[in-house]
Amino acid sequence: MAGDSPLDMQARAVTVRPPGRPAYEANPAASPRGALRTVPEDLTIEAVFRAHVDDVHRIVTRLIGPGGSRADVEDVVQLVFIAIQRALPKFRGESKLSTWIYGVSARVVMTQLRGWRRHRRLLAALGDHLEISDTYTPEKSASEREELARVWRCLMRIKPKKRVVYIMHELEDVSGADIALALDIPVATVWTRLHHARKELLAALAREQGGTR
Amino acid sequence: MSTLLSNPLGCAHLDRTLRLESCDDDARAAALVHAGDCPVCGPALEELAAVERTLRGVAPAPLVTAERARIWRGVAARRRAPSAGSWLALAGVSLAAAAAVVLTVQLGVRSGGAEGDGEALPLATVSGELTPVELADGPLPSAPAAVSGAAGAVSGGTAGGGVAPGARQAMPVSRWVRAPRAVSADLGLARVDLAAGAVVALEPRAPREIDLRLFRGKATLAVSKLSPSEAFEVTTPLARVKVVGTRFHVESRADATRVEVEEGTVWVWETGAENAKVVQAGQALEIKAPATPREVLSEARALLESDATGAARMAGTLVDQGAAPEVEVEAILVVADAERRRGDPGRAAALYRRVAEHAHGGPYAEEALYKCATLLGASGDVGGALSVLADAERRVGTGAIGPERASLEAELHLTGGDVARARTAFGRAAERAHAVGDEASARVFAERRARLR
Repeated sequence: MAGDSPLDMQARAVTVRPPGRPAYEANPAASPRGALRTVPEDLTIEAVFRAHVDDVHRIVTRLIGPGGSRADVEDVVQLVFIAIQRALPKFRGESKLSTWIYGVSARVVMTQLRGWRRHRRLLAALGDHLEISDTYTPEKSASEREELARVWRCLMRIKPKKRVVYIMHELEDVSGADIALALDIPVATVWTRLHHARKELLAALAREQGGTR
Repeated sequence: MSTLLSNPLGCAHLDRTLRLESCDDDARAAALVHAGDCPVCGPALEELAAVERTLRGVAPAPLVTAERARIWRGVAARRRAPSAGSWLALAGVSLAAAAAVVLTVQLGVRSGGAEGDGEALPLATVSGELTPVELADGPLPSAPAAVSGAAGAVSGGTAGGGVAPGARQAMPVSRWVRAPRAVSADLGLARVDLAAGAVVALEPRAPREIDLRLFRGKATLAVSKLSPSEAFEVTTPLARVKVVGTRFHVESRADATRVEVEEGTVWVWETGAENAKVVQAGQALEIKAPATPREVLSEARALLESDATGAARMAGTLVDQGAAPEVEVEAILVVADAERRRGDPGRAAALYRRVAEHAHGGPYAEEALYKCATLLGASGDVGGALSVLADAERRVGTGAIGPERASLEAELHLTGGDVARARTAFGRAAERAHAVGDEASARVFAERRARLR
């Protein structure tokens, strides 16, 4: 009990405890990437960060699109983990941890797109000359970059709710059922949004090709 | 291929083709067969597949170590900070002595639109509606700051002395202005609406960086999304608020700074604090001026009965922050009492001894040593308890020992089986009680002495 005294707290407060190695790293059966249905006792924000920061970064980058700067993405990834940290105690393992993280990431990104008016700015940036940075496509040729920019321009014209479903399903290979769990919507709504996303994407591609955008 | 959608013929089956995943097996097979022949649906599927290939062909550049570290630092800072709700409760007992220091009335700004010229752009110039204010004239509520010079250079200072890490020190301020009525100003990076009476200042800091100092009054700020090379901060005497793109309100009063976030997220550093508190849309954070050490001590004492841990934490903070010696002694005494209540007699006894060391005699030393002796006696260490009592007498003088505490010695001798010394001690306790006019206690002690014959 002596160690709990506030007289000892000052010294403890400045001690930086390195993030612990989560037990599920040593026990693949409990892996948050596996069929997780029970919450590991050491499901700490440190463990989640270590295991999923790259996934979250990739998801956020794709959801924001290549018009967002690396600083934008970094800000949003940080906000995602702050949200995860806040919500982690409520995570009960009803879905895979990775699915749940997808949901949190998607909600944070959509909030940011709305709240920061980022979407409008990105659209404006994408309007005439979207440039895909070298850090995004280091080995791509100019024509490949132009094709990528054209596709992204069209994709960014889809409403965020539909675009999120499209990206999760088509690029991240998340199943419809998991998308429904992640976004807390019915599976039928997932398919409807995916359907509309495809239609809007085709329409945008058609306009782009016709020069009528 | 994309012209297919403008094909006036279209295809009634396109909707079904684009919903393949939600079809049952038969419908999916039928749709695929149809797409194989249809001049609309087939190319549509091919085009979507091509888009997917293009998008999958490039993966976002992975995080670099520095980015990962920055992200984690932000998350960890949030982890260490209490929730917005509990900040309000904690703010009342916050001891950030340096918070007051601050006084950062070191307000300064540069217009976000003016880059590179390095000259101050007074807010009055921006709005044309603000009136200069001399802080030294005393129109502002009193604050723990020393103001010197007509230019309004302000240096901070607190009763507690020193400045906590991160607290801002004195900075020259070229000009203070007061809004005679509600006014608005466009600072380039942000739009600022000042309530009537708000007192602010602007100073150059760095290109594309705005530091709006709000000494008193209310300001509503709408900040556009900033790039990494841009910064916008609002500083009040009690807090520093950093934003990256949001709409929020800041009110600076003599006793508190209140931040309300309407949209987006802001980071708030209590003056002197190393870690920021994150305030998000719909949340408010109020940072109150620090309580005096005496107020904190009094509150800690009041908490002892109901929340010994909380009391120990509050009093411990005073010790950790290097309160004045007389306050520190009382604070350690409170911590010791709290440890005793929490069931840690060993640590409590050690702290009582520490009080005796620091108190240099006097009532606190006496109180601490007798509490220590009581604890040791209760735990069966009669020898240790008697030794502490002897130490107490040595420190505060035999004549100053009160009757109850004198009787403790008798009880300890009784516990140790030394009846003769117990009788002597009861006799001394009766004398002390009589000396202070407590005849009832004197009779009790005398009777107990008599029973030991």
